[in-house]
Amino acid sequence: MAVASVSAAQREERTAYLFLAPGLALFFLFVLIPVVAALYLSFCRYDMIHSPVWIGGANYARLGKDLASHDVFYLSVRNTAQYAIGTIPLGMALALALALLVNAGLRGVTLYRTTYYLPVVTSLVAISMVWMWLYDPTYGLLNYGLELLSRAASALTGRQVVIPPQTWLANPNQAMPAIILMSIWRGLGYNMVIYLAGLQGIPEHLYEAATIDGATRWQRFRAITWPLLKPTTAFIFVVSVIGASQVFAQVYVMTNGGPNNATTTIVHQIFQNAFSFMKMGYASAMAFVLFAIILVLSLVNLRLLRGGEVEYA
Amino acid sequence: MRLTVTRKALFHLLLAVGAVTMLLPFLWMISTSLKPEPEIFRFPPVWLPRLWKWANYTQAMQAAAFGRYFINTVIYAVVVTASNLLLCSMAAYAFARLRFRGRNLLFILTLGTMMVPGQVTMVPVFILLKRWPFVGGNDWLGLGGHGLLNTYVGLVLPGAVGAFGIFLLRQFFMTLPRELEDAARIDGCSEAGIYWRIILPLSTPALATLGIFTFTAAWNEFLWPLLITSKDSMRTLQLGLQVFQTQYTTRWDLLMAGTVVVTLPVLFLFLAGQRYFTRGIALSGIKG
Amino acid sequence: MPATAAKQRHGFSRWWLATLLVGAGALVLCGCGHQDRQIELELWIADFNESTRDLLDKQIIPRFESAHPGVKVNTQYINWSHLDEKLTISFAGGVAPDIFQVGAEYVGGLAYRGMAQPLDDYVARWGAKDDYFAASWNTCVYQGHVYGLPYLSAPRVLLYRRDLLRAAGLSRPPDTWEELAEAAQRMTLRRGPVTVMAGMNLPVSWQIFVEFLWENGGEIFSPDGRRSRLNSPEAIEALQFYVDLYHKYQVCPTSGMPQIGGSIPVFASKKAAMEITNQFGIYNVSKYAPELLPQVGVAPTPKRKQRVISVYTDWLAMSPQSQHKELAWELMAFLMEPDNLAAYNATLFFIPPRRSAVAAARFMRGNSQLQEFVSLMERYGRSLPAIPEWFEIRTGLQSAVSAAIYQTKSPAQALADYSRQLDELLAERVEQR
Repeated sequence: MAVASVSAAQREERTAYLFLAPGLALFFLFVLIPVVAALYLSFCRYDMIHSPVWIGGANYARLGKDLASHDVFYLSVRNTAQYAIGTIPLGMALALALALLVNAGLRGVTLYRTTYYLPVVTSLVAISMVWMWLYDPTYGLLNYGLELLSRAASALTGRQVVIPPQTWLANPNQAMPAIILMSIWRGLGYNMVIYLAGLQGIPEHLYEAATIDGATRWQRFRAITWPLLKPTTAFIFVVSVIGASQVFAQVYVMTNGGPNNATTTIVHQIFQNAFSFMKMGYASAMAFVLFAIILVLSLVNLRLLRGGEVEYA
Repeated sequence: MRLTVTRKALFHLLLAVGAVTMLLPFLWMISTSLKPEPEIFRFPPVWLPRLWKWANYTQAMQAAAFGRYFINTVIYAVVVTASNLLLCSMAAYAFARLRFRGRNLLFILTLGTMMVPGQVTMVPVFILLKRWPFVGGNDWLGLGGHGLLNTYVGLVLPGAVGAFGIFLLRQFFMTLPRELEDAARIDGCSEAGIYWRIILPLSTPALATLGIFTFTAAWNEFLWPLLITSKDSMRTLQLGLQVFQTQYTTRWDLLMAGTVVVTLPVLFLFLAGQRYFTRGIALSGIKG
Repeated sequence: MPATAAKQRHGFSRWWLATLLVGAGALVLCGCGHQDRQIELELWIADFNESTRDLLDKQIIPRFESAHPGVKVNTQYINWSHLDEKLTISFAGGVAPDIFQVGAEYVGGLAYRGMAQPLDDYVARWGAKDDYFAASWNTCVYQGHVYGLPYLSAPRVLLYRRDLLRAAGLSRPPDTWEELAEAAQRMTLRRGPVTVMAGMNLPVSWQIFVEFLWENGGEIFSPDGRRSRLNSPEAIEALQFYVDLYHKYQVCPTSGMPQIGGSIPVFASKKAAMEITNQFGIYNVSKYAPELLPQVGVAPTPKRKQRVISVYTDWLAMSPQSQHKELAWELMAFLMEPDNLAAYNATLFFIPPRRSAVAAARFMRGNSQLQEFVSLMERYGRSLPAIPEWFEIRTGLQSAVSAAIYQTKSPAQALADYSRQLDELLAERVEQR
């Protein structure tokens, strides 16, 4: 018996390695090793034309100084945090609400699901361009909407109400909120679909039993839906934090970090330093500072949302 | 779950308002795509152009080799998706259900790479592909030729496995009840058999979700194809759309038309894959 | 039972092995390609539109190829917004294009990093250097060596509406800063908080600041390019004037001005009376408000201590990694032939940087406004100093200028702060090789 169980464990291990091998080989080659290379480069000065030159922790020291004196990198961290706080809680709550609504068994579910997923299906570059248009101070729909609102308010109140057209993306105070709004709009369908998959996994009979026991809608949500959605919520939250910390495409297309560094994000700084200023070493150091931030946040998240497996009691 | 009429109406209203908000930018996109150029810059904005210029669509598609770009994008998206579905599910199964040394460490390492932005790994990956030995005119040291640059393999390989897919599927596999697998193991089924015949069929919603995500992401991917291709014959659709933008002007009418055309395939795919989202997990016979 | 289990286990290993072999085989096969018998030159163009592509792909390049049998030119059209990343990664990977187009700020960085081939010998043999406008030519020069050939030029002048000027009681366009402020104030129309007609359209741009700086006799850098001169009284005055136009004289656009990709500048949409801009100002008026064209006047930018017309030139560089430098030079020289150069500039509405090309350009003949651009460029043209760190500098300078205009810092403070950063940045420059 002892001999048989040892070989069974070994067999399981070997099978595991076989399962992992192809994916992991590619992963090592194209993800892990480049990441390690980038880590090495973060301790170097590297302009990608000449060989890397070891400079120790100088890049990190420079970043520290930047953070202390509230320079560009500090601004990018601040903006990224703004972005994350702006998009994640609201986005997740709306996505959950949508998923619940869509899952409620109404007619036209397919239509709604498609409509909400449409922004996700379209490329981020294309979406950013359309929204740049919407935000245009002269020809954009948003300022047009404000004008309509002014007229409506004037008509209702009888007084001349003028909401002046806003500069949106050209305004340092409005640019980031504008990007946040667009990102929430875009990300809704994405999270909604994941929540829907999670909701599908909740057995129908639990709800039936609860209804029979006389539970209200809200009680059903609290006692059944929410707890059983925890793994999904945890997943969405962790992925959202990781994703928000790495926001880049919208900034790249719409504002290029401006106006006046109001929308530059950490990855935008990384990209700019790597590809425009050709300071790959410095950019890599930034990447690992970002990594450290995300790692800490993820660990905190996972601890808060502990409980990936739930018993179907 | 029975809904009252008022409840139903309310839900419909909320969803409809939301849907219109979702659609507004797209309606604008379509509206712009049908306008002649002078009509685009008007205030107040014009929704329905006086003349619907369908010629914008033909003009847009003829502005560059979009047929070729379409083929390239399809190959890229299909191969990356298939590869992700297969390899990520295999890895996720190992992480979720098999015990082996270093499992936790390896999983954390996998997750960890998701936290490093891809922008800093693009240059090492580019150099690696360029120096791939024995291909593209390279010798055994990887020198002399172009390696895997401007090839489909080079385009696809770095994206063939993603940590996101492994993470998603592992979480999902962990929620599956163990009873089915245990029963199968007792019956003498190998791990591979369990994976292929039990886990995968039960995971259709998760696989469909991952499939749609991966396909969409690959279809819309911009930066990597931009960097890895330097021949017009290898470009993807997203890169093709850039032809409407120059330093000082953008042909918004053609750009919007092109964007609509480029978005349609993924939209159709999503519509076709709708039912897989609704397939529930067969849990009958488990509850003791 | 154990037998079937064993068979299934082996079956899986066999299947996996097969997949691995197929995968490896596919990998190797895919790389196999035919050996090109041709010489291939790679050309990257960043300034293009549909007409340009037609011109190059169907006319100019085929003519070059037929004159050079066995040579194929692979022309890539790359947007400016992605040019940096493509150039960087191509050089990093050792697959840089033979000839590539770059912008006004690039020469320092390219030369410093060894990304552009010095062309002094070729140019000396060629002998066409004196045909170029000085301001255009200097864009390609770094520390006395020339690293490319100018391809398109864009001088910045003052455009003004003649009719609005007359209506405001002025007989001639403003010549000095004081006259500019005065004229702009007279031509500004406001309705409540919104400026309906801006006397002076000024974007928030470091380039405008540099224009004022030079007019005031100031400099950005010390002559050796290693120290900042932004902390000077001239610089502070220039920035103060810029800020005053916004907040003291209030002649600049407020909200509601078009931003989309610069496609419809304010001037052509009839929301401004004057503008400092390049020849695109003319182009946009002729496209979107052609009836206004006769009313658009061209004047030199106002002077204070000196008159300056800043000229931004895009140019072609050659990669030191090129395997066919002699051939690449021939392609460059061919593209620069007056007729070809004129045709290229015509598709994009830029000023050809060569006098003979200007003469050959049909779109410029008889266009008095464009001729005035050329005349001003000839007399007062000036290009940016060649400094390797321009990309970082322009971002930082833009921030400083924005901070002053959005009034988060005083001009003196903004320039003092940035000047310090600039000194640090320049001090970091390490002498390569």
